[in-house]
Amino acid sequence: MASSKGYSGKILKVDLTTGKFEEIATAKYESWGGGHGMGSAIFFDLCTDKTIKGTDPGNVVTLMTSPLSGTLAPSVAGRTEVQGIGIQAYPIGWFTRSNFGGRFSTQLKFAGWDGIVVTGKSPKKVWLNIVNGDVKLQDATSLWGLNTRETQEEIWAAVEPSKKDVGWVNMGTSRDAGRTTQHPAVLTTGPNAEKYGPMAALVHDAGNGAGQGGFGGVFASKNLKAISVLGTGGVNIANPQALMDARIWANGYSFAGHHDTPASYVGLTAFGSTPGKPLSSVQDLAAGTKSRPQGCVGCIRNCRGRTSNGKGNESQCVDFFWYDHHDVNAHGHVTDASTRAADAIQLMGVNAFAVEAATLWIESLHNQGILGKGKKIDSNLPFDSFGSGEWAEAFINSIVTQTDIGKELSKGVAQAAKAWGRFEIDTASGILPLQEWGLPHHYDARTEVEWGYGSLIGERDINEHDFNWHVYWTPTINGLFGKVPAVSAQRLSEIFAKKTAPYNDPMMINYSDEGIYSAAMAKTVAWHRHYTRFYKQSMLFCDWAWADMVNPYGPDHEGMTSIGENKFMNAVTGGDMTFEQGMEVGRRIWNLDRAVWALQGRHRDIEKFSEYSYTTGAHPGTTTYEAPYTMPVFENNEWAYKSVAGRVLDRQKVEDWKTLFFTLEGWDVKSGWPTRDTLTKLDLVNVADELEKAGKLGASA
Amino acid sequence: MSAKLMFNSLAWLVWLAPFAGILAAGVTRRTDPRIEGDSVLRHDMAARVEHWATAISAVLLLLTGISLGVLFVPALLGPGVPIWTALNLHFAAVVMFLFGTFYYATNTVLSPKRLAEHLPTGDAVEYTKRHYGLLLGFKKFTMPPERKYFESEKMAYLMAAAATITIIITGLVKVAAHSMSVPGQLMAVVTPTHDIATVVMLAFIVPHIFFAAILPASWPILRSMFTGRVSLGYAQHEHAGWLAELEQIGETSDESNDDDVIQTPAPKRVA
Amino acid sequence: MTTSKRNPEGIITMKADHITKAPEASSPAEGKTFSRREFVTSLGGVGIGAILGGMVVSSVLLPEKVFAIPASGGYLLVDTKKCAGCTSCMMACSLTHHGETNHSLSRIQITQNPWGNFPEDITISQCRQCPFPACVEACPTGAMHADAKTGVRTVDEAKCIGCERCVNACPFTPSRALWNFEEKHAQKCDLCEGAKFWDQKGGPDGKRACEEICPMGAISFTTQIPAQNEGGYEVDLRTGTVWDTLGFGGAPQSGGHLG
Repeated sequence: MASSKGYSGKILKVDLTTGKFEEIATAKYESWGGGHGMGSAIFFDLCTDKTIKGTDPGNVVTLMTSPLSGTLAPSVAGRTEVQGIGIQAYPIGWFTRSNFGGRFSTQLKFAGWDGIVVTGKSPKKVWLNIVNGDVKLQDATSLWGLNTRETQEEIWAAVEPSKKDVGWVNMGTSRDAGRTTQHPAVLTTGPNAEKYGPMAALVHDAGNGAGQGGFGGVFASKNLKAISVLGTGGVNIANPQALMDARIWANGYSFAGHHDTPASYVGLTAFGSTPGKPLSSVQDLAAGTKSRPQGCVGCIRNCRGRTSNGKGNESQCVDFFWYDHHDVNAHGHVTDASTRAADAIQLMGVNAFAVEAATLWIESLHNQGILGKGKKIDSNLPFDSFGSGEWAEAFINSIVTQTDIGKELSKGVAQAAKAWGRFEIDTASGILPLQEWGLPHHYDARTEVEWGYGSLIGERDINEHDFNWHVYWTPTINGLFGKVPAVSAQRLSEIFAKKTAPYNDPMMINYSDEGIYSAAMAKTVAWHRHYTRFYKQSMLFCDWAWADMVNPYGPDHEGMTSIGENKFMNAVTGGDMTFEQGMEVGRRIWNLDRAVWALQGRHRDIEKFSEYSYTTGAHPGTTTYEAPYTMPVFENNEWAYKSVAGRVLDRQKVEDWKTLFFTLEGWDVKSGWPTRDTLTKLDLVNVADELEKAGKLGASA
Repeated sequence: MSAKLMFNSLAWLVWLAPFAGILAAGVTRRTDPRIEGDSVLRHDMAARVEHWATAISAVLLLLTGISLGVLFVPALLGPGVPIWTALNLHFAAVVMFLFGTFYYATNTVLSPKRLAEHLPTGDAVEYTKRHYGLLLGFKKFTMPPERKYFESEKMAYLMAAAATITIIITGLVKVAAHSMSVPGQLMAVVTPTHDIATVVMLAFIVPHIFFAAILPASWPILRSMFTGRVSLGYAQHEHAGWLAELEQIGETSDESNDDDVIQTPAPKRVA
Repeated sequence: MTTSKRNPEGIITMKADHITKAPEASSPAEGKTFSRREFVTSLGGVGIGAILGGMVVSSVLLPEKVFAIPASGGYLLVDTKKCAGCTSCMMACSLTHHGETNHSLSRIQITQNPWGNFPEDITISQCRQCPFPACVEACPTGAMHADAKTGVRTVDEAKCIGCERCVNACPFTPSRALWNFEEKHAQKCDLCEGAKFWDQKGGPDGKRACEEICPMGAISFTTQIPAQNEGGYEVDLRTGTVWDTLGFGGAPQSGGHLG
């Protein structure tokens, strides 16, 4: 094959309108690396009118893998990047992304494809069946109303020949057609997802979901129920020895290499996390529930679990968190309500972050007597058992069946707030935690600004924990337990400076009242945008393991980031990309995305957080994470960890920071649009041309 | 579920078959071609047995062998029973093929002139070009008088003979490997060689069937492979050189099948 | 001629060989000359006689030689309850043996049901290096064999004829002997003796790629044959280790996420 190692060499393009399939040569898009970069570039080329709505048949949805998908690169191989015009953000459904784990990308690579591009709208309800090079659209009428588990099990039965002879399924008539013991990997929507599109996720296996953007609804709008893929091939590795060596080297940075003496580290880490430790499934299981760790393909940390009662399988983090604190508030401890809540969203294919924000808000409205039986917002949900499994299931069911308050919530949380006339008042008080673009508040823009800025200048809740574990969770947890963090604020700034090429500025993690508006914070956000666009969303390093900044097993707590990523990539592809070269590709992808948003109507004037960010400090009950927000600050010439809880943002200073950021990115500070100079340097002249034609090209400084 | 593989349980038949062919040749009496009224005896019974034993088994060998997957080509059959059935059919064909080829080879040893009939002459290349050109209808050639076998056939004969010998030798090693420990390094050479020879054999047999059985022009000769005879007119038209030989030695009796008969010199080219 | 038979232990025995035996028995008397025809007739007759005679002799008179199949020098141990289903072992297996990561070519197979109940949701299918290997017994050509030095049951790929009797003979599901449909030969776990894309020495005295790579420590190795039942080896690699503290054995009443 002509293409580089690691790639399958071809991308499947499916035109649902005509039912025709085409192959796109991966080589054409290889300069983008894979995943998001390729997805954005393909979207830019194929989606001719980028101002359409996400439900328009002209929307182009990409599901992309990376050269590392289906390889031994640790905690990379299982993830798939989903892109297209979303239907969740408000008021404009930005061109956006989501990402899910499991086995899908691996099976896709094994089937010989680097990605899938879906265009058009099918005249009838269909699902896409991929077995190696054999691709078919099949009738999905009988699957349309099924939940995600039922759909997947029906598809398994359809794809797998009658009976496994010796446990191996031969995928064709020839005995050399390829065989496997594995089930097809199926990505599906919940029942009738077009009816709650903005809330609808894509789900794969028991607990892998792509929720952000409402891609479940986008699929359904195209009359596409599911995509099944089964492959019996492999991924050719340029340097198998180097890959084995690298993986064994990585064991030294993880629990995998320290079974006998795991680190006792107070705080949260990524790569170095122990299975079953915080932010895995274990803490949200009812007492006595036995379980195992469970991971996506090739994972080294295996953060999820499967349980002795099969409840809560493969769920973790927000899948439980959207409800577990309500469970604990109601019962004093975790009961099966948390797992029932997790299973409800997985089976129905509903976005966990959206219902997390909605539940907090609904609880407030109910407590204020605005929402409930016979109230202004009438609801028959069983509020007297709020916190129970019944309530969680009834709530999710109301969205999926568009009944009760689900009638409005099925159109999106921001849309429901508008319909009920509560949007302005509740986003001002903060009881409706939608932080930017009508999207759920996750980590707090007022305190952990890199998260907020990234989401605002971007198009979605970034959901990237590269800084978060170390600048928020670890000092905060240590503070809660009255401990001194193992890594001092000073040392933390050194580690981050070392790992954040090309900026390498120790002030990048200064979250002081001045620091959050500084030029260094512009570098932080730029580095984060570029790093994640390339390494995490294009090469598909998992957010739950990468970046590896602080690692309890690393030399003096230094993780693998800036060395590890390229070690794995080069072993697989045979290339010699440096860390900084990857960062440049990230910058290029970020600029392309920014250009698409400009075409969709983005301007710096509309880049504002919700009102509460400027006026109201975080207080208990308004967001999920109301613990004291302790962060590294550089004040009085000295590094320290300090609580910045309660802080609000200064409107003008945020605007000034945006100017600093746009300047750093080489964008027009007046509009926030990329300039021809910047795009030309990134070999994106065609993008500059399209912006110019639309009157959206930034003026050069 | 498992299957009995005849390559294991009946391996002795493979070793017996060549001797059976040799013995059969020893007791066979041949009839030379001759003009019989308005027809010409072209193939005696022994020739027809040789041909059809080899032909049927070769086709079966190719079909089963290719179905099992040659070189890098995927098998046509599914795993389990289909594969085992193909292996057993391959076995049966091996026995028949060995009988046929050894019968033929021994007959040829006993009657070297028959070998000479098959060997190409200096005209081979030019005649072959013209022959196929004419058959395919895109060359306006005039064919010179051909002898019993077209020069084109003689060229193919060499290729088939080489492939056959290779297939038999490598095949016997493969059979032996069922009964004794044959070094893996040897098998690593033998198996692909067997497969390559198979491809060569296929390259012979497909055109052979096309030109000798499917093309209407060849139907008289196909018929002769069953009846042994062609019409005098056909022989006159297609094999003038051979007919001239037969007329020259027309008086020779049936005893010409004697082992020590001297080969008749080839006639000069007519035209 | 040759014959081969297999005794119940799957041991191959070899017998007399007369393939090229010259027809001495029918040598003509001194001075008399044979015609070519007489010679070939005799050759055919004697050959047939020798083969048939050899068969009778070998089946009636010669005792079968018996070779015991040596025990494997080691066994992979797996603790299914520790497995996270990441299939890194499968990719390490195919990577070190074939230079590609490929589930279908892996000699250890993880199968799972995402909605299953722990511990039945995951099955690890590793070769058990059986003391009485049905795969070796089933092989018609000796391609599937026990390594003379280490006893590891493995495949001489060049000798494999692709009948897949070993695949069918394996008493376990999925079969531990598998068909390599890319290179067209059977293969099975060789404890990494044949891991040619890895510079580590494999086998009982070396390292096994799956064991090295498993992040959960669910794969171990022993030189003593482990106790086993229908479901597999009875292996517990958890109890008494740090695993006991990780909460998988039944979480105590907990308080959710810092909530």
